[in-house]
Order: sequence, then structure tokens, then C-alpha cells
Amino acid sequence: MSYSDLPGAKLRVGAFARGLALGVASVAAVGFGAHSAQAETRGYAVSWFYMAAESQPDDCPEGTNMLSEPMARKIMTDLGKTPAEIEAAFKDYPSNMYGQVVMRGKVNGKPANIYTNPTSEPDPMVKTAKGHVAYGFNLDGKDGPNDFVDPQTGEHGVDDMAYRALGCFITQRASGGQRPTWPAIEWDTTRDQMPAWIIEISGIERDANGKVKDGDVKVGFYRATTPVTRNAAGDPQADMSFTVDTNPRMQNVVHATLHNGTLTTDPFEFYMIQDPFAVAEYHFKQTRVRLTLNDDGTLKGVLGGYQPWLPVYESFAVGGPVNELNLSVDAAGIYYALKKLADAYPDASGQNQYISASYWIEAVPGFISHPNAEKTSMVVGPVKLAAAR
Amino acid sequence: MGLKTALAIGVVAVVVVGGGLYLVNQHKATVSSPIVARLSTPPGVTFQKVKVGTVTAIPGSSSDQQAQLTVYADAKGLTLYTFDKDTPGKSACTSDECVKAWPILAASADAKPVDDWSIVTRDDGSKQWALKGKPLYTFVKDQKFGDYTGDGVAKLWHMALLEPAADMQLPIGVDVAEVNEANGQTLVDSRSMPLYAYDGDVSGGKVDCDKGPCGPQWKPLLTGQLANNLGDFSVVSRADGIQQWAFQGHPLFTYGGDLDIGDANGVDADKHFQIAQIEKYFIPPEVKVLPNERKGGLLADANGKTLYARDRVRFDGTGGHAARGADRGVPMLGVTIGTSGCDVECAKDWHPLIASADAKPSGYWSLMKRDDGAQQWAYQGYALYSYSGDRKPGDMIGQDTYTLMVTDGEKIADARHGMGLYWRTTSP
Repeated sequence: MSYSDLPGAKLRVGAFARGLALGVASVAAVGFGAHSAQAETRGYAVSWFYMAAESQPDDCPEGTNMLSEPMARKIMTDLGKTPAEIEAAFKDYPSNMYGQVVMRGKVNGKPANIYTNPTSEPDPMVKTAKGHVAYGFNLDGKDGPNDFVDPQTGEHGVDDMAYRALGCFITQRASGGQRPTWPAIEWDTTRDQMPAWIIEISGIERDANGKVKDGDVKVGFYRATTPVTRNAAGDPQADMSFTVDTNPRMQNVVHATLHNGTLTTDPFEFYMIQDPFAVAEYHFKQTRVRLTLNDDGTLKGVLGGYQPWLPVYESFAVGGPVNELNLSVDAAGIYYALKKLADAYPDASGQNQYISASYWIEAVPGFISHPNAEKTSMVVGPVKLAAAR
Repeated sequence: MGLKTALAIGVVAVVVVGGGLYLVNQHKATVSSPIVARLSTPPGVTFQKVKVGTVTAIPGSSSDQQAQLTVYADAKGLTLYTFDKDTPGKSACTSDECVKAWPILAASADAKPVDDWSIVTRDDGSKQWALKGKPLYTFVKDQKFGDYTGDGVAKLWHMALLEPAADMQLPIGVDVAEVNEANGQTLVDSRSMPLYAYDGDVSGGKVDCDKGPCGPQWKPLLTGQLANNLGDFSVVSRADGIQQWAFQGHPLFTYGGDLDIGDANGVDADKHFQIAQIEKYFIPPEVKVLPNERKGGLLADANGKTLYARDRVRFDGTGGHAARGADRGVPMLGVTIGTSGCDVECAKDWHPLIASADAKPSGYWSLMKRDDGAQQWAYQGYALYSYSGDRKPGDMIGQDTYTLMVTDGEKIADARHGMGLYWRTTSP
């Protein structure tokens, strides 16, 4: 009895043939069609997000702002302390001075908390950056005297008044692609606990050589439900899995154009929560983002937009004297500088509430799952802005 | 039969009979009625956390080690004390001088004894609450909650501490601890994971489960091979060779779905398992606890809507704001903020958790008077609200919404609000 005589043999042979054909077709599809026909979706976890700086040797022509100790001496002198009292306070610097620094403001002759009442002392006129090199975007379409040139793209008219306000504090300065000290500390301190920021790029197509093709893509910036995990080197571990937090406040989805491996988004509103140790809530208007898809799988680029300046002040002031006397920052001076240099969205009095700013984004590959696909495609603005009273 | 032979037979008989009785005893797994947790506080009695000690170095290195204790307090949050000269059910603090310095914790006319809480009738006929028979007092020098200036006075007055395991005998590896999601004091294993009591007999090595196989999720709490019964704990010898602890006759298990301290995901996971709770905290009828892996339990209103507190933006040098179990607020700060954290405009989106007119503070729950005369529930010092933007149970859309309040002019900023306020979810 031959095989074909067995009960059901023809049926099985037919099924085998169909399976074989399907398998060959699948292999062919993968081998020949993947680069051209199927669009990719790539996920990333943000490993770094920090205020961008490309400090120049001459962009603070009067020098940088005072370091902590001379600033503390000046504060104590302004408070009417005698040299002996000042020296006594310096015996256990800075902890011996924290209490005195806090109440250095004056409102109607009464001592006031300088951090919650920053205008309770006269404008200390901190030094601001005068240079013309900064990362970012020309957000307003103009090229004015306060604008910058992006050293990476050569774009003129770049708006980054936050760098102008803060760029002469040493902990905000960096060049050559380095991270400024304090913004890096802010991110590094908070990222172990805060839910990760994640990015999803969909619609990526590749040519027959595997090279990313120019074209349209969709970019989503979300918050995850869990933090990043660090690897043995202390950096965020690549290829970890994240679930999108369905909170509609943090669904930032925007169209972008890919060109030569770098995507640039259309203008959009960006909202994200970080931590009050740094900036508690980020909200950018007229946001632009450019991100380069690096060959090693990582992502790096710049976010530029207008953000409320008060939360930026808060990020320096919430730590009070601990920040001032350890980071060489003058909280009240920063308040005045941000307020003066704010360049968008005036309130009824004409005072601008937003300031142009640029941030670096660095990200490592990750897997992203959406618990509710319908919701995560929504574009929803922030529930509420942080606002001055 | 010689003396030695008789002695040997006697010894063998004792060993056989004694051993047999021991084994019989060990195999007992008598299932009694369900474990009933005691109520921690009657109406009018609250908890407060107090910080004691000054030494922060090396735990256990000093008798003055810094620690946080939970004390019983009156409805205003003032620490309660016991007096060593009192006898069970009888107050010895009767002189005018004593009563003036140590005001009694008066029981209202309609107060009823419950569990460890009894009502003492004083010599003047007034009623006073007593805990385990010990009458309770406040101290005149305590001004705010968290004060405990009366502790140790004359070496006779002591803070009334929450010590649910004080009268219990506990096997090694078993403790009693606060389990957030269970809202009470619960038996826990050496990892501080809650224990669950099984309602059946496991001596045959089998465990019935309502939903699927038991093995992967419910793990027996093993004893040492030489363990003996201890207090309410007994040893169950199972046919599979395992010796397992039982509490009040109920074999004890851990639940595989509990992954972090404070989890109680085994509650309602299977009808045969009940969390082994010793004391149950008061919770208002308008409130429930929802499990939440990111927060370790969420307080929610009767409709399941997340309950929020409006807290002051604070500097946290560790950046741990979003961590599970972090960001629980400072009760005194919550009291200071009171209901001022949400004005009329705010109340359009944030709805106060209103208590009934006859509600009374208890446990971690207190009441705040609103401008319109209504009472609002507060938890661990913070007034509670739900958010109109939340649509379904478990939503936390309002979490981390900030309003910065820095002044720019001649008006000094409201010190109660610091640099600003933000909304945070609340957890038990």
C-alpha cells in the first residue's frame, strides 16, 4: 500500500503543499519586501532631557555670576551683618547660613521669604548671556538681535531666551556637546523614581539597503507607568519594556518629516510631568523637535519651544538656600532675569508669561505597549497650566 | 523482668505515647470561624505619627534611636496617655490638680465599648475611654498633634501606642505590620508580605481554590521542623511532608500577586482565603481602598473616583516624588493648609469629600469645617477631593497638577502655600 492509499493522505499532502507555498511566500515577503513595504515603529526611552547650552568663551563678557561663597558674603553684608558675624557664619558654611539667607527679603519693612517673594529684594541684576550661539529653532520666524544661530543646523533666528537668562551661571554652562551640570543633576536625580518618558516613531520606511527613507512619520511623546532601569554603567538600560500611561495629559502625538535620518516635527504643544526637584510640569507651546536616528539605535536631538518661565524659576527656588549656596545660583536674580527676558504670550498687563527655551533629548531603544490604542492616538492638551498668581 | 528492662520499657512507653500525642497535636488543623479583626479606634479616637529619639546613626546602637511611632490621639489629634497608678477599669487620677493637668478622654453618652475599648465610669459619674482597661488622658502641655511632652512624666505617664502585637505570641518569621492596601494591622511574613488564612483543611496536602489551581499563587507559610504550637499559632503537618503555620486554626499562606510591601492583592482574589488581619482601621462609609500597583493602594470615593489632597510643593533632594509609597505629605502641613487649598474657583473641578453631619473622626480620619458649614473628610491631616476629569475607577488624571504661587509685589505670599500647591493622590 502506497502512502497515497492511506486514509486522508491526499488531504494531508494537499495541506503540506499549501503550507510549503505559504512558507515560501512568507520568507520571500520578509526577504524582499521588509525594507520597502512595511513601515516600522520604533520605541525609545528618554535617557536624558536637559536644558541645552553651547557656551562660548566670550558670551559672558563681564564674567560669570558670583560663586556661592562671595554671594553669601554679599547677602550677609546686605543684611547688615558685621564682619565678625559673617566670619562666624562661615565656620560651618553653608549649613550655618541657610536660615539667614531665606528671610533676606523685605516687604513693607518686614522680613520676607525670598523664594516665595522674589521681588522682596531689588533686582540683583545677574549677568546674562550675550552670545549668539545656541541650539534650538527659530520659533517666531524672525531673526532679531537677541536671537541665536544653531551650531548644529546653522539655522538663524533661533529663540532661546532661557539660555540668555541663565547662561552666565556656571552650573548652566556647557559646550562641545557636554551636559550642563545642574540640568544634568536634575534629570539624573529624578529619573530613577519618575515614570519614564518614552518616544514612539511610527511610519519609518527603509530602502532596499536598509537605510531609513525620507518621508512622513508620526511621533508620540508619552509618559510610561514605570521608571527607566539602569545598566551596570549607570545609564538607562536599552531594550526595556514600557507601558504607556493613558493619562490624556501626556499624549503628545505629532507629524514629523524624516530627512537624512533626522526627523523634524511640525509645531505642536508638548506637555509632560517630571518632578518638583527639577521642573514639575513641562508645557511648551509652538514646540519643534528634531531627532536623529543614530546607527547604534539611540536617538538624540533638540526640543525647542516656549515654556512658562515661572516653573523654571521654581526649579531653582524650591531648594531654597540649599540650591543657592551649593550651586552658585541667585534665585531672586533668576526670577528677575527670566521675567525680563520672557518673550512670548503676554498677560493682560503685557508681561510675557512664556520664555523660549531649548532642551536636549537623548533616548535609548525600548519596547512600548499601549494598554488602550484608541486613547493613545488622541492629541490632548494639558489639563491646566502652572500659573502665577 | 529486671529493673533496667522495666525502666527501658517505661522510657519507650513514654516516648511512644508522648510522641504520638505530639504528632496528633501537630496534625490538628481544626478550622474555626473566620478571623475577626479588632477595630483599631472607636469614634473620637485618632492616630498620629510621632517622631521620637535623636540618634540617626546605626540602627539599634542607641536607646534614643530616631523612630516614628503611631500613638492614639483624641479627636483633635492630641496624644493620649496612660497612668501607671490606674488599675484596670479604674482611674486613680481624681484630684483637681491631676485632672487639670491630665484631661480625661471623655466618652460621649452614646459611646459603646468595642473590642479593646471600654468605658470607665469615674468617681464623679463621668465616662472615660479606656484601652485594654487603662483609662486614657491628654496632657495639658501638648499644643498640637505630634507633641508628646507628657511621655515619661514622673515615670508614671506613657504615650498610648498602637501595639497590636503586644499581647500576642508570634513565631519567628511572623510579625504584625501595617499593610496599606488592607487598611490595617496584619500578620506578615519575614519579607513584610501579608499572610492569608485558608478556610479549609490542608493536612491532606490539598488546597481548594475558587479560581484555577492554587499552587502558583498561594504558598504555604512553612514552619521549622521542630516548631511547636505557640499562642494562636499551630503547626499543621501535611501529607506532602510540609509543616505549615496556622493562625486560629487557619493554615497561613502568602499570595504570589503581592510584589511590594503594602500590597494586599490577595484580598478578594479567592473566596477560600482571607487576609489575616489583627486590627482593622476605621474608614468612612464614603471611602474605599482600590488596589493600585503604582501607588500601593488608592483612596477612592464611593463611586470609585480617586481621592486627592492638595499639598504644598516641597523640596525633595532625592527626587523621589513619584516613587511608590513616597509623597504622602506631612500631616501638620495638611492641617495648616486646611480647606484653603481649594477656593470657589478650584471647587468647580475639585469636589470636596463631604462627610455626614453625624460623622466623627477616627483613626487617620479627621473632619474639617468648610465655609458653608459642611464637614469635609481629611486623611492624615489633608482635606480630600475628587476630580471631575477622572472618568473611571483608577483614573489619576489630576495627579501632579501644579499651581505655583509666587508673589510679585507688596503682598507677602501665603505662607501656608509655600511656593505653590499641587494635587496628589492619596494612599492608605
